[in-house]
Amino acid sequence: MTLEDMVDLLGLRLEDAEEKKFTAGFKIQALNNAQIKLANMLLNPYLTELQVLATSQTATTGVLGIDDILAYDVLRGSEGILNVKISSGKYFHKIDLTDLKKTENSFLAAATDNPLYYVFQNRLYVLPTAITTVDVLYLKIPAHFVNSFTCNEASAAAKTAFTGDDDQNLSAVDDHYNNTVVWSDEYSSYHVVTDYTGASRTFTVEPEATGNFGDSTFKFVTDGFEELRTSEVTSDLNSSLHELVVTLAEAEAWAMDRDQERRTTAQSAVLDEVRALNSAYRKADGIGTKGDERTNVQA
Amino acid sequence: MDVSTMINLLGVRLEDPDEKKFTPTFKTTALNNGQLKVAQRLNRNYLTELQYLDSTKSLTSGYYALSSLTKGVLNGAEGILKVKVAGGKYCTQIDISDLKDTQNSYLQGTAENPLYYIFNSRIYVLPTTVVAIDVWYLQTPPSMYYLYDVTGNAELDQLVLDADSGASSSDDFYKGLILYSNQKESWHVVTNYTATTRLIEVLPAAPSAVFGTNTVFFKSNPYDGFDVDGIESTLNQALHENIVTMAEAEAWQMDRQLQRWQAAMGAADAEIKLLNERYVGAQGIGTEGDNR
Repeated sequence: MTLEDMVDLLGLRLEDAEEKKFTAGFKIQALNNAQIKLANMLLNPYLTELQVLATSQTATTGVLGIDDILAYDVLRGSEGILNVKISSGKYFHKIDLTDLKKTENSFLAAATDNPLYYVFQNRLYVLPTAITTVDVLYLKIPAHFVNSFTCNEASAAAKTAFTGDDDQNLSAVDDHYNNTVVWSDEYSSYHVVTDYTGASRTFTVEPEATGNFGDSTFKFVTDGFEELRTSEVTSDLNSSLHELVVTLAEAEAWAMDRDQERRTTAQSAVLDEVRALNSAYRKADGIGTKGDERTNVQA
Repeated sequence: MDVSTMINLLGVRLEDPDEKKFTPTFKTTALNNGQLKVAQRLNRNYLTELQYLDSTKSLTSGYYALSSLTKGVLNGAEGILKVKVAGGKYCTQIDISDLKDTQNSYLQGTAENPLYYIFNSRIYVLPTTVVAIDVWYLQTPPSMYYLYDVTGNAELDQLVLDADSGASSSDDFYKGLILYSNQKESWHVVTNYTATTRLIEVLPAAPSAVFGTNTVFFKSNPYDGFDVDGIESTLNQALHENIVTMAEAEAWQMDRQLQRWQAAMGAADAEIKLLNERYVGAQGIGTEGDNR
């Protein structure tokens, strides 16, 4: 389901197809909130589309800053770190802060053959601290619902200008995007459009970028332009969860209505389905014996 | 979700987008209360963004006052996650009811077996010869701010944040963020921030006359990588909507529609309950006493 489909379906559910009460901007925000909330509540095996492997990440004296190093924001903080492995080496055991005292016991102390990790202060701590390179498996936060427009180098390479792609329905009207804020994916920076030439789709911006704009992408940030081309945007979550995202967004939308029964009904429907999915999950049997099951194996 | 988005979302939820009944100041307070409540109720493993480590804190008379820590502590004694002798061993927490046990020579606190307990908002460490500790704790979520009072400066591209607006004391704190001037009704990108004078430099400059005395707000987006305390909640992005719902519940408390208060509170609580239910602790290392 594309974002456009979701917005339209939500409009019907809210008995507001003509968007008198619930604007497209509000619905997109509600859908954004919903997909993050849904991912937050579901068990990890349902979120394989959000799993990311970051290889060869550098640990400095045993510490990796999660926000500084990983390419995406991590879902659920420390709970979003799924596994850690020494690059070309062994997997780590995860320990809780309450277990740190145990690492002082020589039989439980971390070693290259028995590496340990824990998450604290949005940082990943690896033990022993001599380990310098690790692979991190984690859950990212679903990407924000917004279209990335293709952009190209302006006719003369510049830090203050770029051109939009002619296949993406950008306006042909001069100054159409003036005073709008755009986000450069190339330089990870905000810019205000100070001039727009419709014929060449050239954006002139301030402040200047840290380098010449090249072939990359950009996003509109303000003035409702961030709602353009919703037909090109889809949720990162599995398509079987898209309807659930809409229902959760519906619950949020009904929160601004006096008919609270519809809010609680939509919310309950989602929570019931999430609980059903979570309880239906059966962990793989795996290998070896498990501490809890040893008695059964022996029997 | 940044504060300005939260404020707008809350305004719509409260059927008060024109801010007749619920002022921005009230909504900001409700949001701050909301994030505090969410943090208090959630399993602490969802709160890694609030974890803080204060190293080598000197003890006086065998204790360290919680109020002397760099950040406020969430949930009092429950917010202290770990205590370690600086450059030494981890301390084992004991309850006040166990103090008598420490008089047994086999159980007393020693350099090899340091103990700590919390009483009267102080961390007491045994043995009392320990001189400094590292404290691992959950901080109270930093306050969020929405509208900042500003005054214009002589230059078209400068404005000054009011000292009482919650302005940051760190240089370049707002650099790279976008700012909306309510006076000029225009967007600007912050190119420099000088903390001592609270001077903000922006581009593009004000179109004609300099910025006057008015208000501004900052904006951040989920994909921009800016995690700026005060502009957005410190808690994980996945919890931001729950903060708005908790704030909504507080807002409806001052309205006759108590049903909406209950519905909002019920929705926020149901989500927190589900999150806490689904938490599975790390298997850890060694055997667990309780499982023996």
